[in-house]
Amino acid sequence: MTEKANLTPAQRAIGGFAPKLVSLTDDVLFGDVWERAELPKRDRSLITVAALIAGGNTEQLRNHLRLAQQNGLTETELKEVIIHLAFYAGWPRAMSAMNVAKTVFITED
Amino acid sequence: MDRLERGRERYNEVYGDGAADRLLASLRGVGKELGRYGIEFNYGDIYSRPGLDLRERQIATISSLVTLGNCERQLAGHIKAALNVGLSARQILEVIVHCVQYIGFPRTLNAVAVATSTFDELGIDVDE
Repeated sequence: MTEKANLTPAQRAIGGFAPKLVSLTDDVLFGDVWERAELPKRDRSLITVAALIAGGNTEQLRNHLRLAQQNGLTETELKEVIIHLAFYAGWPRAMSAMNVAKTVFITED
Repeated sequence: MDRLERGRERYNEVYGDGAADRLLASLRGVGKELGRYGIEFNYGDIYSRPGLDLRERQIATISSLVTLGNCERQLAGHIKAALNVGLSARQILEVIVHCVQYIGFPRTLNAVAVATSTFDELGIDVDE
């Protein structure tokens, strides 16, 4: 395994440029909040994806859709989250999110 | 069963018996049409689709309302709905706390305040 393969996604993306934000991402977000026992990771991915869709954060949605699949949500379920949120967050955000999902799922299938 | 009737059933399943008619009765004029759209399209169509169960739909809805902000009335309603479909008060608070990473402290703290007063109103102790 190369050294790069051992890096976290945040380290790979901005590690040398903004090490403090990377350590907060890895230690506080994924190391602490995501590890809280009250909800399983599958639910935490559902929450995260919903928040990113409603917030219009399509850039971050790409990787979180992949993580959501690793945490047990299926492509069908993730597409349904986007459809479900259309009437809450509005069609523009749902359509933008579905375009991201299409690139993620079609690339990976 | 038509979409409006299916929506009424699903809405009442989430919010309790008679809730759809209470919503419609609370609205006036053109507002009634919007209420009917909500029951017919959102509950009769989307909430009746397979793919996510009602518990998962409330998790997604609460996360989106917390993210949007300024949706206190809707958040309080969906917190009650979440209790109806199987989430505990503790789990609902965890859903909100998880959002802090993605939306920041201000909106998350406001949502925790809405949840806490909703649980107080229902006599649910959150200090255990």
